[in-house]
Amino acid sequence: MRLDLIDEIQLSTFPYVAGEGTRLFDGVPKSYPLDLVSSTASSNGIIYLQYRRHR
Amino acid sequence: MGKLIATVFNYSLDGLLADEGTEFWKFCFDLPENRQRDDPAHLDWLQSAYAHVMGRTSYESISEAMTTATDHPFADILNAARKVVFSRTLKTADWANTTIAAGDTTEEIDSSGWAATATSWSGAASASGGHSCGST
Repeated sequence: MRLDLIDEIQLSTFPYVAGEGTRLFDGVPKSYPLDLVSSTASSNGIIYLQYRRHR
Repeated sequence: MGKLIATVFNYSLDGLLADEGTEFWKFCFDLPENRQRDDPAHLDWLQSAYAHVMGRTSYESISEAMTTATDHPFADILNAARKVVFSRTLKTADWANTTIAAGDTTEEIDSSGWAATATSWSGAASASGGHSCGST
C-alpha cells in the first residue's frame, strides 16, 4: 500500500470488536481513495468488501 | 502489468487482524464455515491467480497449514500454485513451486508482469487472515 502496488483489496470483516491484534492499516499513505466494487453479507455475519484502488 | 489483489481475512470491526491465541482468533475459527473456504467461485479465483504473493511470516504459516491439513479446500490449489515469498532473510523455501523475492518490492512486482493474487494469512491454523503483500 505504501508502494502503491495494490490494485484491489478484498476484505472480510468479522462481526467482532477485537480490542487487541495487529493493526491492518499501519504506516499507510495519507491519502488512498478506493472505489467500492461489491459488498456481500454472509449469514454468519461476515461482510465481504471488494475495493479497487482509485487511480 | 498484472493485477495485484490483496485479500484480508479475520479482520475486526475495529481494524485489527486476529493474532493467534486471542479471543478474536478463537471467535473466527468457531464461526461456521464461511463461503470463502469452499465456494467454487472462490476456489476458481484462487486457482486462476498467476502467483500467490506473501511475506515470510504468512508464507511460513500457510505452507505449514497447507502441507499438514491436506483436506483443506485450499490445500490442493495452493500446494500446486506458484508462490512468491518476499523476504531478505529466508534462504531456502521448501514448499513446492516457491520463488524467494529478495529484491526491491516494486521492481519485483513490476518486472513480473503478473496477474497476481496477493494472499496473506496470519498464524498457523488452517484458514485464517492477514494483510497484503510485504517484505520482511
